[in-house]
Amino acid sequence: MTNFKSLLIILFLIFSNFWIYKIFRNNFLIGLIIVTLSILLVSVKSFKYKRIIILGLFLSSLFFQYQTTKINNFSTLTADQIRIQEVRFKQYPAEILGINFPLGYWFEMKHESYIIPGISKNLYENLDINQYFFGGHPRQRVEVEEFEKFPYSFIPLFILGLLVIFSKKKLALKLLFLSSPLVLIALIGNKNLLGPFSLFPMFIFIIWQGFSVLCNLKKRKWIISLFIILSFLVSVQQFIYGGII
Amino acid sequence: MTQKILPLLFVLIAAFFLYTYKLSFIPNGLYVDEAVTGYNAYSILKTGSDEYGKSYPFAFRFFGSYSPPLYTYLSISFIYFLDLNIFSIRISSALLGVLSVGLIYIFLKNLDLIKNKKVIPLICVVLFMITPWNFFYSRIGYEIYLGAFLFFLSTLLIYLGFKKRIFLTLGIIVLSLSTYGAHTEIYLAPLFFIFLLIFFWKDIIKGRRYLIWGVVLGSVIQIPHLLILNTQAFINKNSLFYINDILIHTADLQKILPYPIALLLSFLREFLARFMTYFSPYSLFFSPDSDPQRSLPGLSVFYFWMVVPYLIGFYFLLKKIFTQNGKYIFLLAVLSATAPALTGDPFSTQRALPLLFPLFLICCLGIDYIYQKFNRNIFLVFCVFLFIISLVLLWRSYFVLFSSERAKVWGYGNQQLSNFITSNPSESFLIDQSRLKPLYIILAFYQQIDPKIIQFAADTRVRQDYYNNSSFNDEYQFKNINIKRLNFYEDIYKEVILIGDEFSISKDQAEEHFLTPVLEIKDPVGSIIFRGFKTNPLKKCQATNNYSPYCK
Repeated sequence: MTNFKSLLIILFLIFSNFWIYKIFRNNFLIGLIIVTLSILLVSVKSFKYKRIIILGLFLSSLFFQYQTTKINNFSTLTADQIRIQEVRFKQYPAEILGINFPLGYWFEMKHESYIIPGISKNLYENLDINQYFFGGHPRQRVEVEEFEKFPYSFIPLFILGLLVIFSKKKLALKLLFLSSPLVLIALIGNKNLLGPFSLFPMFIFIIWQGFSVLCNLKKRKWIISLFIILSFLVSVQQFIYGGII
Repeated sequence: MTQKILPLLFVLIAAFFLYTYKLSFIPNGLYVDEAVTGYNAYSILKTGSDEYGKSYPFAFRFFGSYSPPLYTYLSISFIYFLDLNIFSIRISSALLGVLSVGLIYIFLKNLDLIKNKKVIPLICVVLFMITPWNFFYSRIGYEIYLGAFLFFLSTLLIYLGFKKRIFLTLGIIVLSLSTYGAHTEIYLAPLFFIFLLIFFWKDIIKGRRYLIWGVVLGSVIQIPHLLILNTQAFINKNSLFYINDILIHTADLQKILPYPIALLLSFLREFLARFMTYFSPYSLFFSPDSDPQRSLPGLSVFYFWMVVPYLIGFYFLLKKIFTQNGKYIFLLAVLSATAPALTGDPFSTQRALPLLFPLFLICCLGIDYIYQKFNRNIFLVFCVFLFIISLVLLWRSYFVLFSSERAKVWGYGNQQLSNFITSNPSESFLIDQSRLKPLYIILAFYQQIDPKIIQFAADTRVRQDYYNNSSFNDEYQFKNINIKRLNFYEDIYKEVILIGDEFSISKDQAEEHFLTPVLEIKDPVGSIIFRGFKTNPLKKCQATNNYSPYCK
C-alpha cells in the first residue's frame, strides 16, 4: 500500500468512530493529544525525539484522564452498602471446628474487603470488550454514561491485532502503554464523560495491526472494500444511536 | 495403571463429597422448577401420567414451557429409591457434575494442544471441580445440567471419533439424545452437527460407515421430536428471540438507511453484542448473571484470577486455530455462545451452560502454557495457593452468602408453610398467588399429594390438546387449600386462613377486616416471606351491619 493510502486508512480508523467525535466536542486539547499520539504510534517513520514525544503525549493523556475523572472514593460506603455489609456480617459462623475465626469481620468489615472489589470492578469493566464496541450493551452500567466507542466491524481487526502484537518479541513498551491506563483507571474509577480515552491510541494501534493482516491477504481489495463499506454503515448506525444524525 | 487412576479417583471422590454436601439444604429452599420436575416424576411413577394426566409425554408441559423430558424420567428412579424429596431431585445433577469432572480429564488427556499430559489434566480437573459455574448447576434439581452434560459428552465422543471411529457413532447418538436434555440443546445440537460436517468433513468421511450408523440411529432417536414438530411444544422458546428490539432499532436507522440494510445492521448489533458478552472477561470473571436465582453473590462463573489463563489460552487457541484441535474447541465455543446470544437475556448462565466446557478447556490451554514457561515448583506452589483462595471464595459465596441472601428467591419458607397447613387439617387456607411462583406444585411436592388429586384439579382443556396449549392457570383448589388472587371484597367473609407475601395484607387492612395474625415466616436474613391471618367474618359482618352480600 502506498503511503497516501495508508494515511487515508489511518485517518479512517481514527475518525470513523463516535468516540473521537465526542472527545473533540468536549475537549479539543485531549482530542488533539490522542489523535497525534495515535498517528505517531502507527506511523513507521522515525525521527528525532519521536520516542520522547510519544512518551510525553502518553503521559499527558494519563494526566487528563486523571483530571477529568470523578475519582472513586473507596473508603466511604453508601447507606445501602452499609446495610448489605451488616446483613452479610451476621451470616458467618462464629467458629469453625471449634476455633473462633472472625471471618465475618475479615470478609465484610475490613477496609480491604470493599476496596479490593471496588478496584477489581473498575479493572474488569475496562476489560469488557462490549464497552468499546457496543456501549456496554446488553449489560449497561448504572452510574456510567455509556456510548459506543468504535464500530463493531472493528472487532475482528482488534482480535487479529492483539494476536499480531503478542506474537512479536518486543512486548514491554506495548504492554506498558496498554496496562498503565488500565491500572490508573482501576484506581481512579470509570466516571468519566469521555470514557477511558487514554486507551484510545493503543486501540487504534491494535486495530491498525489487525488491518495490516488484511493487507497481506490474497483477495485484499475485496476484503478491504467490504470492510470499509461495512464500517461506514456501522459508524452511521452508531451516530444515529448517539443522537448525532 | 493404579498410579495413573488413583489421583483421578481421589478427585472424583472429592467431587462427589463436594457436590452432595448439604445438597438438601443448599440451595436453601426448593425452586419452583425443581418442584415441578420432581412432582411430575412422582406423578409418572405413581400413575404413569404427568400432573395434567398426560401419559408419558415427549415434552413436559409444566407451566407452559414444554421442558425436554429426560431429566424428569431420570429422576423417577431416584424418587423410587429415595422417596420424593429435595435430595432425590438434585442428586441426578450432582452425579452428572461428578461425571463431568471425569469427562474433562479424558478430554484433556486426548487434547493434542496440551503439552504436559501428566500434570495439567489433573490440575485442571481439580480446578474444574470447584469452578463456580459447574459447582452451582451441578447442585440444582432441574434439567439444565443434564442437557449440557450430554452435549459435552457427545462432543468428547465425536472428538475421540476422529481417531477411533466407533466413538463417532456413539457421539452422534448422544448428541441426538442431548436434545431431550434441555431447551438449549434443541437448537445447539443440530447447529453443531451441521458445522461439524462443514468444517471436519475430511476427518469424518474417513469413517463413512460409522457416520451413517450414527445418523441413522440419531434420526431414530428424533422420532418423538418429529411427532411434535408442528406443535407449540417444539417451538416454544422461539419467543425468546429479541425481534422487537431489532424492529425498534430498524425504525431508527430507516431515517437514513434502506430497510434491508437497517434490519441487517440492527440484527448484527443485537446479536454480536450478546455474543461477545459470553466471552467478555467482565461477565465471566467479575459480574455474575443478573438473575439472582441463577447466580452467586460476589462470584461470577469463573474465579477472578482465571482471567489470566483465559486470555493466554485464547491467544494460544487463536494461534492454533487451523489445527484440528484448535478448530474443534473454537467451533464448540462459538456455537455454544450462539444459541444463548439469540435470546433476550444479557448474560444467561443457564442457557449458556454448554459454553462452560470449551471456555474451561481454553483456560486449561493457558494453564498449560504458563506451566511450560515457569519454574515447575513455583508453579505448583502457586496452584495450591490459588486453589485454597478459590475454595475459600466458593465457601463464602455459596455456603454462607448464597444460602442466606438468595433463600427467598429459591423458595425458602415453602416447607414451613406446607408444615403449617399440614398441622392444621381442620382449617381452610386461601393463598394469595398474586406475586408468588406457582405455589400449588410446591405444596403438592412437600405434602406428596396423590397425583390423581392434582390431575383432577388441573385445567381439563390441557389434556385435550396437550402439546398446543401453553397458556397456564396458576389458580388451584385441592384438599383444604385454595390458591388464587386475593379478593378482599369476597374472601374476608369466608372462614379461612388467608396467606400471602409481605404485600398481600397490610397492617391497616388486617385491623379494618378483623384479621388475626397466625403465621409469619421469615428468610434467614429476616425478610418476610409469608404472613397468615385468620378471618373473622362474623365480627366483620356485625361491624358493617351485614352490608356485604356475603354476610347473608
